[in-house]
Amino acid sequence: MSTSVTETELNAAETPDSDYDPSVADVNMLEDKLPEWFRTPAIGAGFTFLIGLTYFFFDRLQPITHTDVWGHLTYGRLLWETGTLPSTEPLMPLSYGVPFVNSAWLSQLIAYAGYLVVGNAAITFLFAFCVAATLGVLTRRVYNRTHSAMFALGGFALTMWVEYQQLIVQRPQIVGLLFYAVLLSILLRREWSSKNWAVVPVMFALWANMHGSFIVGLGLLGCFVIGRGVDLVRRTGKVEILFRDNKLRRLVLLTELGAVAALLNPYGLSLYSEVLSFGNNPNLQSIIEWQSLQIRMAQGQAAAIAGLVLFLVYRISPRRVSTAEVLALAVFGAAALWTSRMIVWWGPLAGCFAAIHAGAAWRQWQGGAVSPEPAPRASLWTIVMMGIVFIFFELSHLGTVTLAMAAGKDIEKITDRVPLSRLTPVAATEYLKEHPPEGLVFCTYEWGDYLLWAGPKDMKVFVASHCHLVPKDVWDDYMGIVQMQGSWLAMLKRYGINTVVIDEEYREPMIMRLYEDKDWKMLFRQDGQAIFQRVNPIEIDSKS
Amino acid sequence: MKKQKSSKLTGFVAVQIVTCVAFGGGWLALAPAQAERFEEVITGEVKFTPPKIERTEPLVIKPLYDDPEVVSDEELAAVLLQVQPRFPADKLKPNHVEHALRTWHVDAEFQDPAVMSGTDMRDLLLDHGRFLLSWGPDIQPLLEDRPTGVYVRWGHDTGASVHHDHTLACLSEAGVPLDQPVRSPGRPNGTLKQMIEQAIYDFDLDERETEWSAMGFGLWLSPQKEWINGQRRKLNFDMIARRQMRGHKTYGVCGGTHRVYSLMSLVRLDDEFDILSDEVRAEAMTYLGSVRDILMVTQHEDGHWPYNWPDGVAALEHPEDYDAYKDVIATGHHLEWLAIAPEELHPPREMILKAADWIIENTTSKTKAEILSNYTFYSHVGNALSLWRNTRASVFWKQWEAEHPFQAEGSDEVAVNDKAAGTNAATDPAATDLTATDVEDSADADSSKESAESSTTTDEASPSVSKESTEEEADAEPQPLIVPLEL
Repeated sequence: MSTSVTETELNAAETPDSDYDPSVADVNMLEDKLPEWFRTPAIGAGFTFLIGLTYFFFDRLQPITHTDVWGHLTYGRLLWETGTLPSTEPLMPLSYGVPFVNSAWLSQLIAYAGYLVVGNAAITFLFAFCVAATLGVLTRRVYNRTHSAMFALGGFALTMWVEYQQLIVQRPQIVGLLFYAVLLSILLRREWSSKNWAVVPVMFALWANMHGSFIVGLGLLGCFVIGRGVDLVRRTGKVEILFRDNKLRRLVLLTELGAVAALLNPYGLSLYSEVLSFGNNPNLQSIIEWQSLQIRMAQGQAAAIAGLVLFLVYRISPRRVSTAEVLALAVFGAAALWTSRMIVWWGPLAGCFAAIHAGAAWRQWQGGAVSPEPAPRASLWTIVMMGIVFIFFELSHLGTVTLAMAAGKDIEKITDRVPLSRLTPVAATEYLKEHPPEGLVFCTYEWGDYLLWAGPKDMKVFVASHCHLVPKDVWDDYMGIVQMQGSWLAMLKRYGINTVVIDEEYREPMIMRLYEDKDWKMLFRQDGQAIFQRVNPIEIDSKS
Repeated sequence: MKKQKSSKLTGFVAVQIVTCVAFGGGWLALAPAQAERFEEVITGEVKFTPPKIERTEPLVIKPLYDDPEVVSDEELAAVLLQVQPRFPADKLKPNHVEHALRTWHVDAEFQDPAVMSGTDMRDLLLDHGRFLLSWGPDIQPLLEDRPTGVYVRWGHDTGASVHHDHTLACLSEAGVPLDQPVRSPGRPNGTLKQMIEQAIYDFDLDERETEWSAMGFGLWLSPQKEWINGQRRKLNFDMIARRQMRGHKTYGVCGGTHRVYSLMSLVRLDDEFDILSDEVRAEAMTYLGSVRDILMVTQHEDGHWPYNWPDGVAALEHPEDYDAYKDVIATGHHLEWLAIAPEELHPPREMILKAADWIIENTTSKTKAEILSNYTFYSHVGNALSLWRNTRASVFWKQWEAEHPFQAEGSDEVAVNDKAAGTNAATDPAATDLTATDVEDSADADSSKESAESSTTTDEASPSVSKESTEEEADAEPQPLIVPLEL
């Protein structure tokens, strides 16, 4: 069949009809022959470039931080090597026996598997991809709702500004943020898609295995359920409407299915109790990102401005303000005020709602149609988008590594070039590998993870960034030592610490004090990292 | 249309069923500890199921030697006479009673009516009514009723037990059974079991003093190796043993000697119940061996071990200036753990003999008032020397009194004992008739002492426990007093 068509076309080309004028271009030749689904609007290419830049920034320009990313990789390595999920904390000796519900086990495993293949490039790729995808999903939804590149860009900018402080550290939370963005995008979509019945439960099943923030997703759904219910009753004045409204029914079912799907994890229902009680861990109060949001914080200032923008936008917006969005903004806003880390869930809401309402206000001011015609689509832009994606990918660390792999080159040198935060204790770790310390090593919780990851085998760190697993008494002692409170030197002795690894950036007074103390000698100091050893080591009689 | 409605309803109902089944199944699939945790998070109420305690009597770590060269009968009698629980009835410090009880055991009986019997001591600790009689209503009760058991108030507050789980450890060493009635305000029908359960609930491996919890758990939970505390932390005897070995030896109560005693006890329990892993047992033996090695190089010429023994040779070469009673702490406590230690962990025998001679001389040369002001430390001497004779203080004393009957104050009963012992044990009438001035002096002296265990004063000494009442209650359960709830 295809052959005959081709022949016909050839014949037609060879036998020009009477209307054929070779001096005039045949517009049929310019007709987009590719299927409709393949076509995208020109603005799509623009947004792809923006998202590509975002990916490039977070992959290439953002170094791998010195904190918990290494702890997650270490847990991933343990899972990979043992094939089992430990029921108690396995890495920090002072936390042995503490129950451990590893809500990020799948993220850790994927990250470690990626690391095995392409080294640190896997970390930057996974992180940058998730950030870019999150912002891409949100920007696309805002554009679909506003049909305005300007407001989509505005939503992107506001979200990015509020979120940025939370996007500095590569951690499994970013996967949660991506799922959250997808969920928000589904909830903000005008039309209902039957695919949601599959997408949402599958997403929650994955989410519950990759990060404990799935509970935030359920919370968001809950806000939309309650909001929808309130709106219905408010508008109709009838409670019966709650049982007849299709949208509300779908939201309720989706929430239930999400909650059920989240049970598909190795811990079952226990995961719920773990994530619900996590924020109550007293140790978290010592960590700045778990303290309440304050205006002197960069993200506090961003949140304040975003709040002001929202206030103004809601004042002028011609759109009906749904209870769901107010409720979601209020609930997640209050959570962010309570503990600043929760701002990561408020940022996307603020960015999207502000942009959508600002877009509506702008259209009204312009006197334009509320729902303008969609922009024309063409395959050309899809191809341009693909080109942009390809270029940014090749510019990334992973792109460089894959090119090298394709060329049969040794990738180790390339992966070594992935920048680490200047606070990463690389030099100290190398020293410790050559001179393995005995017994418990005192280090800051920020460094514990890297020392566990790259330090000597079976290194016993005092604490690491999974501080919720550290017994309260140990954590209090840790804080006493790092803040050089009272008898902190005696505390080191009480724990049998013979080696101290600390940073110059924040612990200069401690370095000076140990340097002057006759009981301690400095073994190493380089790149802002110092190692001290007790002159007369306390006998290492026990492992913990 | 109708069909569509019906299918929507079916779908809705199906999801409800799936949700209920999934969460119901999830609940059923939870392990008991996980279910408790879940319930706790949802309801906000404390949920805790303590481990089952298989025994009704605490285990006893038997002494290994009967060595009259270390301490003869007469010497032991003289020492025990010094450390009899001759306490005043008013404001009777739990810490004193606990020490006396572990030394003398619950079955202790004395012909001298001024001395508290084992049951009297037990009841002061376990019956709020008795405590109230001694302390009055203005002091917080020693025992507190909690949802997870019976809590013993501890710390430096007035009328509190000084160390965490010290009460439990002493009651356990004294042989108090699991079903022993415990009467706290608000729970008049408790038993010792609830006190143990509370101890398990609130034990924290990283708290400052774990020595007595280690003892209590060892004597009650063996042969169980593993259990879960109130923070849901999985604990085992390996962790407890390693905790005793953590850090510099100088840390811990009584110059770090209690950690050694507790560790030695765990090793002995391991001999019979295999509660330690081979690895940890080996570590413990190495640790105890290192303590022995230190003892070998720190003994003074006169036989005592210095309080700063963990400093090793430096302790001998550069003696620290501290109160003399601290040497009693070190020497008495070391002799105590050595009495239950296998010979491979002993320093040379001559050292033990010298140490015993020094401590006997020191103890018997003190007036009873001096002993009383440092009772806690001297009680360990009594216990240590009894162990070296493979006996218990109460058993020995009963036999001794059978042969050397008590004669009332003013007679030469004490002198008889002293002569028999060939020592210069002081007979000090002040021991039973302390004046208020004496009390204040000793209190002031104590306040400067560094160790928590050094809070050893009595506010008043008057023999108020009558012989009759002691005898009456020796075998009977203590009668609860009617205590107003607000107290």
